[in-house]
Amino acid sequence: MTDTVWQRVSPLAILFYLGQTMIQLGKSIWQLAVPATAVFLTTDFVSVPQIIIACGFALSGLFAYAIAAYWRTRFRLDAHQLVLRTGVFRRRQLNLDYARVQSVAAEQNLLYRLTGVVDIRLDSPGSAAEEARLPAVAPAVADELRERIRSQRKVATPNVLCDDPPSLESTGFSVLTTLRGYDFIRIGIASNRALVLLALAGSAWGTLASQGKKINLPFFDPLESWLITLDWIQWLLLIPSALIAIVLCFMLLSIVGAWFRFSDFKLLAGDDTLQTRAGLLTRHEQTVSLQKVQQLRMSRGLLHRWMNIASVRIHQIGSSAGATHLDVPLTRASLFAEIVRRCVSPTALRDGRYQPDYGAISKHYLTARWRLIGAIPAIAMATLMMVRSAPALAYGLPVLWLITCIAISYVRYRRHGYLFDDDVIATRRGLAQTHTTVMAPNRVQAVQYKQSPFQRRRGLVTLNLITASGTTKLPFLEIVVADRGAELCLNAAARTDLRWH
Amino acid sequence: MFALAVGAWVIVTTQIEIFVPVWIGLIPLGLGFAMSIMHAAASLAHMGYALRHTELLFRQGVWWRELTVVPFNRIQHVETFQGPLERSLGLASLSVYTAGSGGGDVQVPGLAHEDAKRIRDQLLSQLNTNE
Repeated sequence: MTDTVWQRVSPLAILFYLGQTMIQLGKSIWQLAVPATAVFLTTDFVSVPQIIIACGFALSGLFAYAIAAYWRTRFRLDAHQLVLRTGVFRRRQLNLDYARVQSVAAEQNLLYRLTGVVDIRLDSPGSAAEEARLPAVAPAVADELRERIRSQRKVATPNVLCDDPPSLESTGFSVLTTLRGYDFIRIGIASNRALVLLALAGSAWGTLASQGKKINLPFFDPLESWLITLDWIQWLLLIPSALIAIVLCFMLLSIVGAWFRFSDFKLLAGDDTLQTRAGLLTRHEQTVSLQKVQQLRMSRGLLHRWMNIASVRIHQIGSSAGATHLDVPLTRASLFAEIVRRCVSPTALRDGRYQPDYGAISKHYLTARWRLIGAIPAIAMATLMMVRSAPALAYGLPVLWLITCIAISYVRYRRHGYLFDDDVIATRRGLAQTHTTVMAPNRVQAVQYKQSPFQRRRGLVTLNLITASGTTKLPFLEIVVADRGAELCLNAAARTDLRWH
Repeated sequence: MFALAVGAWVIVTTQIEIFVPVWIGLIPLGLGFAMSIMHAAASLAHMGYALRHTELLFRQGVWWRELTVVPFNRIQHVETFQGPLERSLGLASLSVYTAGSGGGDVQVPGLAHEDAKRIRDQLLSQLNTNE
């Protein structure tokens, strides 16, 4: 392949740069607040027409900057690298070798779909966010870029976002899973976003109830007078009904959100890649080379366990710092085992269960936890009550705290587990929601032992396995066990030459 | 620790409405200073590095002990650093980076500058061997 000519992105990128500049301004708006207030206070610049004119000037300036950013953005697809030039005032040239590309993400929002352009993001090892971004390029350019990356790294990345995608068979991809209608209900119900929304709504309602009278909300007085007329039976019926209705509303919102986000979801597997694509309005496509996968993290909440499902996140280098990762919102045991087999080792977790036979951590974990978070605060609380001459009933609070902490510590202790196998390391932790991390031993970049004074007295250690996508912590292991895990990782590292696995 | 002692002294003198002679206030300050020096000495005693055939080992910590093992073939790059004080004392810090680590995975402070350069060159030669 010979070097090609410089190309421009689509003029639609002007909108992208306009949005990006406004977001950046929005992020630093608090810095502008003080000078803006000073300007308003020290001048007579307060009339509405003047504000409109000022906003008009500001928008014109932003638009001019966006046009300049578009004009300055040029790229070239060379034989072995992408050369990207950006920047209005500060010029930047990026030379990104195709061989260094960690993953390719393509996205089409509604406008892009209507106009037939694609937003391409490329990650490379060590970059916290995307290394290169080509906003609004023609599908043909995206195809050419994919083809060059594929030929360099043998990353098969079929064009799925253009109007006429080739068949999966022709690209060598097979569908591992898709989502059906009732899967969105499961994802929506199991998502803790509904609970977060509920908590926010509860807090907002509390504020409204306390402030409603002061600010004379029109519905507040009739509502208050109606509530006063209710007898206790009606209250008994009203409260649970209202709670159930609110929870159902938020669950419905969560389900709709899941439908928008994961509509037409597909998890595809190629020879050496995994790919997800989904989205109702904005289409997302994520492609990751299997060689670059660092860890798999599976999460199962109470509702996940009840429905016998799980969600999986596939981490690559830099995922912890905000780089892209692949999300599979709903998996079953067999699919999870299949993902583990493809990403970690063909022989890993052969039994295909969610939870293999984990080794238990030391029981001293329980002692350390209840002493630290249970006994010490409880004693401090009781002492404070004694000093303040609190009523006898109040002493029940530290006792309750202690019992709760012991119960929580026990559940956490039971959840903690580890598995050291020749081709897989798995750890499990959690309370109501369990998190299982699975990785190949040769993905470990460094091993760290940590010992508190308590652990030293009992011959225990916390083992940290540092990978390129974050650290996995194994607390309260016998030193012999920690040595076995560390040795497994270090031997695996010694057998490989690749520096960024 | 020294800062904690100063903080405690400020709280005692501003919040408790009893007369505290200045020399009594100096006791926690002095104790804090002495403990800071002792802590630094203990840190020095427990800090160390070792270069094995295939790994770099670094240990540190007084109360919470830490031992980090970095295989040579996982090292992405090595950095030596000298601040003004270190430069005046002929010292340097050595940082070792692996993939995905935002800061260095291992940071060895207070090395003699020549030693830091020697270890850096040794690590780099190991990297080139593994290429």
